[in-house]
Amino acid sequence: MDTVGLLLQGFAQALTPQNLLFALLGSVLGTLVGVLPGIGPTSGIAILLPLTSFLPPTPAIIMLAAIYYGAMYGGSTTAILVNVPGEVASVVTTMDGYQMARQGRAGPALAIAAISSFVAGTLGLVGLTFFAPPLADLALRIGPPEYFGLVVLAFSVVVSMSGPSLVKGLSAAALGALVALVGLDPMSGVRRFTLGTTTLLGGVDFIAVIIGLFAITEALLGVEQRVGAVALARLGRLLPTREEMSRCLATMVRATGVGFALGLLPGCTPGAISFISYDVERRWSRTPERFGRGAIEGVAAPEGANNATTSAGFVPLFALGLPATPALAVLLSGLMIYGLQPGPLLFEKQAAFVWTVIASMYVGNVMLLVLNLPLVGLWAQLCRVPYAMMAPLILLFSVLGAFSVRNSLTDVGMALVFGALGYGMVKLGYPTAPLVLALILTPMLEQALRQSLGMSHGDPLILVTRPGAAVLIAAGLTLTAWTLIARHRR
Amino acid sequence: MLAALGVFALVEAARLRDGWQGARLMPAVVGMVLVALGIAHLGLPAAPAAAAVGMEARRRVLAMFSTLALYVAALPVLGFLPATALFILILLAWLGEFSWPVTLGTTLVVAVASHVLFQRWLGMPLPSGPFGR
Repeated sequence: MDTVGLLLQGFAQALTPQNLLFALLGSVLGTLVGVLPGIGPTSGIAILLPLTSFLPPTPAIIMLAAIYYGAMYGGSTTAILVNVPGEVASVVTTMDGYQMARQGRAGPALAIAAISSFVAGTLGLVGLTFFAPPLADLALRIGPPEYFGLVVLAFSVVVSMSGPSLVKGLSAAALGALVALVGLDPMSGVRRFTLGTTTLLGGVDFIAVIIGLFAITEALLGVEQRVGAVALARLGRLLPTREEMSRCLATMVRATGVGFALGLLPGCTPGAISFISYDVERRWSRTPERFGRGAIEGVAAPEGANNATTSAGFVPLFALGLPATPALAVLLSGLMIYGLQPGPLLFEKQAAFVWTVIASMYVGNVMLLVLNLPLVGLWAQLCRVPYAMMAPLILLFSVLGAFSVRNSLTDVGMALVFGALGYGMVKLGYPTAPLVLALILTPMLEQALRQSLGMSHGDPLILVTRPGAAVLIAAGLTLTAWTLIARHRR
Repeated sequence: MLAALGVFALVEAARLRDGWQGARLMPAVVGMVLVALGIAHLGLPAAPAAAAVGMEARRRVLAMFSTLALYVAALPVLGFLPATALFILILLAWLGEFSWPVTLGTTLVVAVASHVLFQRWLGMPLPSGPFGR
């Protein structure tokens, strides 16, 4: 049990006052950064990386990791309070989280997000601690055909997200798929759907779409309905009831499982994973109708999955040097600046360093919980701010957020377009979730498909002859069929 | 609605000129799906009068959206600080029933704070306009 010994040593290091301070600082900064729409963990880490260059390696990495976790949490705060997801992974949180806020239950929603994140993140770290090298090895065996199967599985979620009208849901998804295809084809460099302009060459930026679809649409709806404030009702209790907590316990474990397992695969984005986890939770529940209307498990699941994914993302990062998300890529460059050489030998040659970082991630998780639970009350009060004041602020941040991704006003324009689109969609009864999901999944699907075809020199049968892929595709189709039947019965 | 989807589908069909089965694959698939869905729309119950929304409400939404659009358009022209100030001012005055001091005060605080935070401190290359440095 060499591992445990090393981990304890790591804790000894991580718990020094100096390192604790930086973990705290990172958590706070990360949360602040995550709260701002559009400025997600990636930009946050990138912006704050130079700040850490003054520090010796260990505190610097500790701080960066804390920022990462913090940013993931911050994104959920705004998702719950004002239906504005701070980053991709928080999109799913808006679905039940915001509804809870409108019912005056922002407190429990925020609290469960914090708690679930903590539990899942910690459990994920345990997984990381004990299983890092073998898991990395396993993750490598996943090839393009298996990925394709995985994405097919994820797409089955679209069907269940379609709401009352399947045609509308699918149309939204198809629209999302179309939008995802705009721009330069990543594999052949061919221009697609750019309508002869150069502005669309870079494709439609994802964050701009989310900001438009969620923040701006919500603001427009708010104005239309003359919303007084997000939650006019008296704010109820700040913490979830004991009964809710016990229900969510199982949720958190499930979410951790899903999030961790899928998070190990480089290329599986937290956004897609949170959708899947939400769907898993909904299917498991005996009362699925509650989801989408403020079911507390609907917040616990994606939040937990996010953090588990974050923890899992470190496995390929440390063991193979493969960043699973852009944020991790920036983190990786930070790590390398400090002399960290990811790879199988990492755990042997630089053990002390790695375990200190891992230990401080545990600490970071605890810290976030401690920091945020008391603040829940404060955040929840934001729901009562008059909408007249919130709306302009939301719009301002939307503009800033959309701009900040690529420093381009075009993206802001894009956000506006999607804001209008979102409004139209809501008014006409088209669900927006499938659009977002399709937007996330289509590039993955395309890449997996084309790579698979490349591997088999054009033979589509490769998708069914490889066991892993076949199983996943079958699972996806079964799930879809099952959902369709269930809908029919209703 | 179906017309729109059908048009989209046709747009890709045309675009299929790009590349070969590699780059053309997804657009073709998505195109076919869209056409199918467009046709499926015919089977839907007639759209409920796009959710009975009063003229008054519609005008509000349109007004807000136009203000937003104008703001974005004004950014490169006026620069971040002035444009933002103007934007916040207009929205607050219109939406809120706050007294003038509150409205002006909030506008100032928000505009200046966001300028300092985002332009100075974080260094975002927001347009500076004619007054900018």
